[in-house]
Amino acid sequence: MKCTYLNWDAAQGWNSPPNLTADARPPMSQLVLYFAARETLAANPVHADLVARFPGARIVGCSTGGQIGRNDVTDAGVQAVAMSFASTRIKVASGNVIACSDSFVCGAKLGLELASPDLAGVFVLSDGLMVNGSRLAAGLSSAVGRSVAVSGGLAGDGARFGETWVAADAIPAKGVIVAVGFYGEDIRFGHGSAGGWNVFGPRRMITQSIDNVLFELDGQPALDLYERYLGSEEAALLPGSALLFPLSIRDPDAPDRDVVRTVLAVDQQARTMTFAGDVPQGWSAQLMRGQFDQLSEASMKAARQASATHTDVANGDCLAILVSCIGRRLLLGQRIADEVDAAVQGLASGTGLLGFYSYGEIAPHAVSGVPQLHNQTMTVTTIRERAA
Amino acid sequence: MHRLIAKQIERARRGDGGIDIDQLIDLVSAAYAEVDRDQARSNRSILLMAEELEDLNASLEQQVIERTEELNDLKRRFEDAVENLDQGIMMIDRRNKVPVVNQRCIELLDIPGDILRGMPSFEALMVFQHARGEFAPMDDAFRRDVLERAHEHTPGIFVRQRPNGVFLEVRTRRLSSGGTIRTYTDVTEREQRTRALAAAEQEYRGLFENSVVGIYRSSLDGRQLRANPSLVRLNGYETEAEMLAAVQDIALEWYVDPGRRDEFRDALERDGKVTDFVSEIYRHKTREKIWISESAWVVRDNKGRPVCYEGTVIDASDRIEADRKIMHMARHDALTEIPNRMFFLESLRKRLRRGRLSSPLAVLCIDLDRFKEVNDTLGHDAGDTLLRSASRRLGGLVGNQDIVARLGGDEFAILLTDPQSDANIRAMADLILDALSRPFSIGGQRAVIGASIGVAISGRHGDNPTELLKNADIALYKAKNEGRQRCCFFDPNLTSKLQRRRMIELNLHSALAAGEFELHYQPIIDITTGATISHEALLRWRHPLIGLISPAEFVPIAEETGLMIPIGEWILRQACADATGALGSPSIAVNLSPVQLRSPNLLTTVMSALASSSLPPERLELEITETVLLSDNKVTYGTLRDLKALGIRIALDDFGTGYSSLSYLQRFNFDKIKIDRSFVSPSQPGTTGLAVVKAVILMAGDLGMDVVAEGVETEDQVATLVEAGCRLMQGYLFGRPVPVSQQARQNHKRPVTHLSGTAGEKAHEKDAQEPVAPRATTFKQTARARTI
Repeated sequence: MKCTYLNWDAAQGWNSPPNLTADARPPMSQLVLYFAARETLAANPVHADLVARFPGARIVGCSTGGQIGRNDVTDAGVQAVAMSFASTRIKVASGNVIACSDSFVCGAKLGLELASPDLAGVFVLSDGLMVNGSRLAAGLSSAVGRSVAVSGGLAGDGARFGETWVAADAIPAKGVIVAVGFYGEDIRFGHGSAGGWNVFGPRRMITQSIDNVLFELDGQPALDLYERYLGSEEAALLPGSALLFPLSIRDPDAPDRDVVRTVLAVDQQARTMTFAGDVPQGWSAQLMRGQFDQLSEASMKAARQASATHTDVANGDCLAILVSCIGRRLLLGQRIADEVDAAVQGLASGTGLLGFYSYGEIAPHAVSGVPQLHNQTMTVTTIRERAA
Repeated sequence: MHRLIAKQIERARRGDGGIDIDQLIDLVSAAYAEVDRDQARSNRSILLMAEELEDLNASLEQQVIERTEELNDLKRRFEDAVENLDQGIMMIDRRNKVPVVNQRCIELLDIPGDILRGMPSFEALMVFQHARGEFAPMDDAFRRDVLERAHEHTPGIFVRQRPNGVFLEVRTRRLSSGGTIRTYTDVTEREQRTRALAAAEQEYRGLFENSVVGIYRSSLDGRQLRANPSLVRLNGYETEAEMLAAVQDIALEWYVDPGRRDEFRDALERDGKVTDFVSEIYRHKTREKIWISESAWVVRDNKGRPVCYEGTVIDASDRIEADRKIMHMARHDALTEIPNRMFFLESLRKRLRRGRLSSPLAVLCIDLDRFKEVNDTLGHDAGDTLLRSASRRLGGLVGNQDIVARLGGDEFAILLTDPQSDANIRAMADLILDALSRPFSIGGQRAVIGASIGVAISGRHGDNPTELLKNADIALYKAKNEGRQRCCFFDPNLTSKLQRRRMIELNLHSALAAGEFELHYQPIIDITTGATISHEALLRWRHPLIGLISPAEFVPIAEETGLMIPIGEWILRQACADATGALGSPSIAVNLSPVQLRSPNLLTTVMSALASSSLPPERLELEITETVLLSDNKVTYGTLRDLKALGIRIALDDFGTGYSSLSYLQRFNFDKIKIDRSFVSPSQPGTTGLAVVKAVILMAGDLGMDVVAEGVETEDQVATLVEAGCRLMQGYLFGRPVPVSQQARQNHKRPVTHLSGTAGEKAHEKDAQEPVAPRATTFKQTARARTI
């Protein structure tokens, strides 16, 4: 596999990283991934440029809450990678979603389109506000089967939570889900995910909820709890500020499988909070806090996990796609770069990387391997081709 | 340098490489602000968390208080429940401690309270109880188990007895928590009842098992449910199981007559029980027939519905056999074992009912002649043997359908069922006579008898058994009368005289015992004084149905049958008694029959009569007739002399009527002569009678004998006799023979009549000299009877 990394900024336009010469045309790229802020995508013909640069390639991307490049996290500009494969084929499936309740079906449809005996992995980018990420992941997974790794993320919109766009080999638009299938015996995937957040305070009971909308905890409106913990200043910044206190929820019947949930939206009138995934009634919930070091350490851990699975000798480049969470960005503030650095340290040397800050991460569960929606989590997906 | 500040510097670097300080300051300030905010956030979080925790604590505490109250309530309710149970409860927890013991348990087990304080271990409790002798009534094995904590393996329920006699039922139940609950219940009453029941059962079992009588229980439809050893043996089996398995249906297999089962059941249903139900059954195993007597009853449930039958069975074979024997004996003659009169009559009745006039039956009455002689000479055993032999000979002559019976004594009867003709009957009769005439060998001796046969035929001579037998008997009588050793058929024309004779003969036997005889007394008077000097005792027979039977009729028969002996004895006794008793006569005259005189016991009899009546012998006179003296027996004369020696006077009766009256006077010294009436009132009046009387009186006077004239009925006769010199007279003129009770009426004195001539004077003189003193006179009744 050969990867060509490029970025774009308003000042300088497209430029490749210095270690690649512009004229040494790489072998024909089959797939291009790109990430940019919605404003950037709205104001510039990013997608068209890439189409022109890489004719014949599939061009897939989404809006973000920030882009991850080799050295830093940026809000402006575009981060992209062009990939050419020695033997692996790719296929792109996409669909539109009208309402959250369609999420499972959409996922299943995409999965069925991609399903094949030699399907090795799936990378998915989904609208971040109109989709129930856990249902999407479940639908995809049920269609492609357990043995196929699924990872990806939900598109973001900064801290605005307005609209998210996804480019499914077409101009980026909202309400779109795209899944890329990788076929062949040589393509290898690695996954890692880690949060680094800690629960604190009393265990509470989700006393009222519907799907991913939380009404009450312990009989009290959940929003009251959040506003109390945020304080008046930060409460005014909801829903974004709710990212500072993700919820750890768990099934009382399966107490060792915690899941982290992030707030996506807040309804001040109804006093409800919408999360990126299901918050089942009857489950217990605890507030979580993040500390800088621990978040960074988690990133490193995730990167290590993703790299550790590769035992074969690689043929060509290794790509790491980092899909991290907007909530982490908000907490870490300026020190967000720490986590990227930590991730880089966790990766095998020579691994290229790019990624974005999403509204929800899709990755296999660390224990069960079942693709799930994660929140507030650093997820790392490594891709390489086995030596022939 | 902290990497953050490095990054910040990079951010703040201008395009020319310089650093925008303002931007850098902003970045750094922003970083500090982030830290502050983060700090504030943390603090707030901690505070809020603390608050929340406190709230949680408070609510938890409240919950604890509420739960504790609930628990206390629960505990109280639990304690109330446990303490108010009638059972003792003990709980043993996982660690073998005893956390719960209710008051009842303490009472039942008699455990002191201190032991329980401080929650002892169950083991300690057991040891304590053992030391106190709690388990003394139980066996060693139990006590060992208790001590070795094998109580963990004790059965879920068991009963033990306490030293105070109470029975405890101990139930142990394991709990899922690992502990145990034990309950103790006082079951003394139940235990006692159970034991009493068991004892009763044992008792009854003993009866059941050992009873000689068979006992059974059967279902309503005939299946045997239980059978005791006696019944099992009765049916020929060894074990109850064997018998129950073999017997399928009582009705079909047990009773010889299957209908008996229905009768049995009907009786049971009707009366609820059956007693002494005798049936013939098969001894089940061997099919041998035996008789049994059953008693049975219906067992009902408490609603009165029949549940089953129970009963007893006794082998009644012996009894039936005994009954049979009795029946047999009732119908058969014990000595000869041939049918007896009853059987004969029954059979005759049956045959008559069955028979038709065309084939009449013949009844033969057979009498053995001279049997009495055999009995007398050879003894009674010989007589018995003779009867048996005779019956066998008779049996051998008749056919299978005919019956030979012994009617009694030496009388037999034969029923010929189909003789076909009179000739056949006669032929048979000849055979019989022949057979019975042949000599019998009895104990080495030869005995020869004969027979007489009387025949009656059904239809001609009667149509009922009694009549036929009676007529055959009459025919027999005729045969005997006509000389014996012959067969006579019944003749309807047989004189009633013969029948009467037979009747008398039959009745005579019982007349004496029945007290049907009477003595009538006729006075003999001395004409010169008119006094009654003697009474002659005359025998009369008053039969209850027939009335007075004349001695002329029955006395000869009595003499023939030998009955005269006992009758004569009675006469003597009665006359002597009357003489000293009610009659009060100076003298009594009793007639003696020849038979009496020949009897060796006469002397003894007379003496006995005299003794028991205290009659002086001189007041007794015995009159005999010439026929007595005909045999010219030395014994006879010897007896007379003996009697006379006693002082008894002997008179010769009916003088002049016999062949050689005068010669008798030579043979014996009579005291008196009685002139027969024929001389007193001759049929042909003339002087011959008178002359004879005179001559007899003269002769008697010379010989020192008294003379009595009999049959004096008129005054003329008296005159004649007086002229002839007869002083003593007897006749209707002076009194008829009457019983003692009527003597008073007849007591009249005849006028004294002067006797002409010396005879009369003599007589008178005699009377003058002697007061009316008893002079032996006799009453006599001759064989030729005077009818009354």
